[in-house]
Amino acid sequence: MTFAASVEEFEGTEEAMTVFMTLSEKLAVLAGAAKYDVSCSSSGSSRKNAGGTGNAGPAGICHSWTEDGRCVSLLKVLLSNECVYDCAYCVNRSSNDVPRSHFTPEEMAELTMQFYKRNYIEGLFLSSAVHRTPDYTMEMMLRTITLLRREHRFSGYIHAKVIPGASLELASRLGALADRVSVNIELPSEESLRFLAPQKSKHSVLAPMSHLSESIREAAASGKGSSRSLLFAPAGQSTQLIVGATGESDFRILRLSEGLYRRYSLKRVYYSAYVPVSDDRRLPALAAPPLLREHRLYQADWLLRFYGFHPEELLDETNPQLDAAVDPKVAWALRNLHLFPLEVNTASYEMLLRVPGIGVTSAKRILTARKVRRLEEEHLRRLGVVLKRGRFFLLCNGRSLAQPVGDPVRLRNLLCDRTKERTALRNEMRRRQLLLFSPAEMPV
Amino acid sequence: MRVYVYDGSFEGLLTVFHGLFRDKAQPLAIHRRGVAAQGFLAETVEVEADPAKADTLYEAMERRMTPRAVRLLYLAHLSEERDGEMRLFAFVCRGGQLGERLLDDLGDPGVAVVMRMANRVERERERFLGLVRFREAGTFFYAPIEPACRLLPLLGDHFARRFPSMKWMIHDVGRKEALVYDEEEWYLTPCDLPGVTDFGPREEHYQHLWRTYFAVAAVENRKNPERQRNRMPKKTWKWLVEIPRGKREPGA
Repeated sequence: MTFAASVEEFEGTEEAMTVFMTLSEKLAVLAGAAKYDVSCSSSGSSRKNAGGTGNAGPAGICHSWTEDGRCVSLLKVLLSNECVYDCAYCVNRSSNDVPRSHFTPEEMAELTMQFYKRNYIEGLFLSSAVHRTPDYTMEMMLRTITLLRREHRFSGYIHAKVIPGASLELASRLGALADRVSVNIELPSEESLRFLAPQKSKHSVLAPMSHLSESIREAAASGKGSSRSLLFAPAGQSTQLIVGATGESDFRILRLSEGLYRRYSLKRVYYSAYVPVSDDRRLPALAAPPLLREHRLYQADWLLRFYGFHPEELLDETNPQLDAAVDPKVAWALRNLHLFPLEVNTASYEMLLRVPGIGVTSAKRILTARKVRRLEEEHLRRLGVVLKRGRFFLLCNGRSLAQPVGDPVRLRNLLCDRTKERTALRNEMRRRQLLLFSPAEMPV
Repeated sequence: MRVYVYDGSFEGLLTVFHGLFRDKAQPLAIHRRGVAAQGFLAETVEVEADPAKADTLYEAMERRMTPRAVRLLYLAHLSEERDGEMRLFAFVCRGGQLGERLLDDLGDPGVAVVMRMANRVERERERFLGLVRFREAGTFFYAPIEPACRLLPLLGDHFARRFPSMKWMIHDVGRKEALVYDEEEWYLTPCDLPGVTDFGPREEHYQHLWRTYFAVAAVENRKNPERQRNRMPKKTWKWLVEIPRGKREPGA
């Protein structure tokens, strides 16, 4: 089937098959179906305005925050939620009885432009269920993005999802138009994929990922030294893993992430606490998404990317889960007390970064400020360095900032993230209680 | 010691500083015209902004303290914090002593406080790059805002780069000032309009779609209104299209 003919059919027959919905109803269905994808970043691209509308900035911009506290940066929707796949963990699986719909490429492009001009969004995050075939779906997505870039002369941010199993040539065309591309791994191991998403395979995910990383590397290399660089997904690629739907340990997940960062130069791996959207018996019966675990994984992920840690320093085979009560850096420091306390005025940048509570900003400020004077505790506070946890690990001009605590168990107690732990526990209890009531008995 | 009153502009402030350095004088207070005066027994001096004097000082500061320090001073000034001018004056004096090392001395209380003022302005600017909401009003796009700091001078370049072929206007309702872009360049102008709210069916249609999106995009079992308010304080809700009308007033 030619491209033009397929578009015609998409707009003709298909339209007649779905129930008529207003644009607003479609938006509700197709945004509702896309919201479990956690990526929202609009950073990493500096696409310039090309005479039409929009541009992208390297830092990205958040435009709003929804009631779940997540930032809204991109208009995140599916082009279609009419799926031929039946992945157990997914709200859009073909066996699930939910309203189905799709946008035409024209509708999608127009809506994006109208939102963008009102400064509601940084751009579009376009994904889709597997509508008929992976290639067909990708062609519809390409048509949408081509409309935006060519007809509407849109230079804002576009994040496009690559559909596993689609041809690599289509993935390349997508990369040439988008700022960021991503292929979702979803499940952290091949066994889990086979078990819960039988129509996907490790190969169908990793093949496009590796292909795209090649193209991104080439484009970036071509730009060096020349004034006009070839734009191919200038904001790189990312992926997402669902946490808690299957049995993989944190250690296994972090090792996978590190491998992805190293081999495919991914910009981000996103972790998504499994939200129970199905009562499929292959899935765990969770009362609530494991949000605290997701949070700890993100903390560990940052340690890998910005703090020079390796997964093996944080976890091992005998101890494969992250500690829920303390953040991963505190847990590491408690196992390495022999390296502390550290003198603020002489410690290296790398070691400062390993002190609990000190981040990239604080470490850099310390380096700057100590050029002018020897730092005392009051100076640290003025720099904005948070000493709540750090005080147990630092010396200022030879003086320690807290009563020394020799006993690691007592120290661990002092460093516990009590409030976080309590909140997580309380929320979980509340949800369990709600589940005990049938809807009729629920107090209103 | 005297109290100095100026027009609120950065130029005006630099003119005040220029005079103080020339006379080797120490001020009792410096504030914008219209801000309740303190120390009514003290002698008050009204200073008119003088571009030539301001430029002289500006260039001298750039040479002595680095352009980055002067930029910081400018940002901190836009915070319009009460009695901020005295801190800015102390900052410049310290800059005279430390020169190029001024910004390295993060441990100095005077330097730290000005950096905090500037950071506050930059953070609010970043937030408002996202929170400005344009309404299509005939031939141009109109956005009312009410930020705590004076942000308009810091928004022009960003929106001019992003929407070069649209006519738009951002209205600081509280300060009665507008940033206007006419498809070629942006400029600031006084603007005493009340915030307009009715824009016709086409605009209503897209506002409705945006509200729909906003409501649907939240994941129910991850509700976290605390975090939402933390990132997007209620005082910013008044002009946000996505917040249902009944919730837009603070405290409602």
